[in-house]
Amino acid sequence: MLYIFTATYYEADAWISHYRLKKDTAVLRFQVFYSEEASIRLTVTGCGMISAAAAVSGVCTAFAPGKQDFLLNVGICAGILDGKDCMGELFLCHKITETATGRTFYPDMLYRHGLKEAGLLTGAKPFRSGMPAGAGDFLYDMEASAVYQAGSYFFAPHKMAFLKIVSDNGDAGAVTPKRIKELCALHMGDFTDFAGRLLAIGRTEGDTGVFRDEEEAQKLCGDMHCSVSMALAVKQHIRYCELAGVDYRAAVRDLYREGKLPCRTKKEGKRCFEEFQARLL
Amino acid sequence: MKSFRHDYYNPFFSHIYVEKAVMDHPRVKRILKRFMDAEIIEITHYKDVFCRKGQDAVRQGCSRKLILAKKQGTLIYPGAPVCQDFGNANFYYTSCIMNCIYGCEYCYLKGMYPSGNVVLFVNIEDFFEETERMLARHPVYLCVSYDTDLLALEPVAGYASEWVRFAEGKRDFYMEIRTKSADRAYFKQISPGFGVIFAFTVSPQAVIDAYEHGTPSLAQRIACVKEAAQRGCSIRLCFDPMIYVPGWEAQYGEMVTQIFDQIPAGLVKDASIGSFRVPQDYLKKMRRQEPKSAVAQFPYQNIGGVYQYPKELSDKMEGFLAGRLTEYLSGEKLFFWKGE
Repeated sequence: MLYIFTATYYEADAWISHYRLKKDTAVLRFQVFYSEEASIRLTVTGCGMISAAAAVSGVCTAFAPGKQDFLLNVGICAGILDGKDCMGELFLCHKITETATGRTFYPDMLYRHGLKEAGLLTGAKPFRSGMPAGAGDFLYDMEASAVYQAGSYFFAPHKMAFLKIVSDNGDAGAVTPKRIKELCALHMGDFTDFAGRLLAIGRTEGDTGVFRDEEEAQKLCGDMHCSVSMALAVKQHIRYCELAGVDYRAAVRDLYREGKLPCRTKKEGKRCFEEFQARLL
Repeated sequence: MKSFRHDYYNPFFSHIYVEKAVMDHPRVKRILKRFMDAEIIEITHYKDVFCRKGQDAVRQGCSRKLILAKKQGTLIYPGAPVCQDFGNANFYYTSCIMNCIYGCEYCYLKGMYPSGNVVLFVNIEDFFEETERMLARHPVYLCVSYDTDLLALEPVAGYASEWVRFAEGKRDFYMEIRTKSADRAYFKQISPGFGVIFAFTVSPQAVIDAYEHGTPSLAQRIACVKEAAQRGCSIRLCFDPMIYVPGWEAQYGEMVTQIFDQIPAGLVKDASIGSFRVPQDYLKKMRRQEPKSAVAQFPYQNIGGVYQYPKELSDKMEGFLAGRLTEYLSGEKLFFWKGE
């Protein structure tokens, strides 16, 4: 599932329409839209760092993300890029610096994408021309560093991505709701492509399931009169055998056939486990 | 056609993080020139990237990034108890590069480092100065390629050559460069010094196929050892770590035959034998990161804080290999890890 966070409804609008997301009325503090089919849960956080952190924390606590899930922060930003006209361009951020603390965060850039990359500053106030913000090129928003910090309690650095569209260069008057909606709709193709890749990666990498037959292992541990630590050792043997393609079930069958299982006492169980080990390795 | 699984990662070093303080360092400029398409990201300190919380070293291993930095503080460390000293009293190691480009599933680096990215310290001259200071006091046996594979990174860093040049003519300085690489071209252009030992880690092909991802084949490694030996390099063969696989006796036996069919035993300085072992904290982390890795999930025994094969099994494995090796090498050339 993709956990998408936008600051405003205008930035979410294109996603909601494209994926036909439905409002989750069970969540009262924030506007949450979701689609099980599209595997997307989108939250409108409100503007600023506190709102963003609260929303990420609240939603991820209520709907705990799994190993296959990604966090996506999408929105508009101001952009000052070497005097180049980058208005309307979409960037994937590889570095996020919080102006208030000077701390910098680095989302991992493991996966291929076709987008331009840039560094991003996150500030507490809207960017205005002439504001001292930093040297060189930069994008500027008001949420990303907070989304990263709150998100890092739930997601690894390679599971968080920050997509920003340059809407202005400090001229707040140019940023109207209509303009924001237009910019986001314009990049919906890039968004869906990016989101589709993340979902596919999640499906491929999320399957860490091993040790399928817990019930069978429990029965074996019970029949061996295992202590807690011995049960862990038995399960570790089974886990290894499953991965290495060693037929541990044949060894278990033989122990039952030979009358060594089930054991009557803990002492017998210990001996049986030693024999089980010897037959496997 | 490539499967999606293998195609969705960025290539190695697609992003290079550079400490601001070394941005103008000549070595940095040379390395960046080699990776013209890489995104260069300026950082304050390498730990800001390398030590982030929650990193997945295994995933990062599929798309490693390069971090160029200046090493400060301690540069040379005393050898660790889980490492072999080969009878040397003043045993030290150093890490002018942290992490390796190979993807060995059993590698302790995944348990030791918080990241799968590679840190290259560009101030190698400071490492040389520190070694000189130590040499003024006593002989030094220094392992320079423990927490990395210097030869595998030679095209990028050139540090193996730099260390070999540094070692030239030095008295009481012995240096080990450990590697799994098979870069024969490197050995064609070096003039090996007296105290430099090239230590080649070799494994049966079945172990390489199963667990040593991205490394050269056994045949390639043997060809490289042969090249190095013929060039007069001092050769160490490292059968360490020995990895248990079903049918290990046949696999290890066949490997020994394959090696000595091509390399005259007289050209081998010594060999080390050690079955896999890893500190408990490292294995815990490795198991969490690699739930599907048989070698990480093997039911090792914890003996004094070090996970290792059951004693009976490790004795059997090491004894078997020692037996096969003594057909070619005398007993005093074999070194074993005996624990603390």
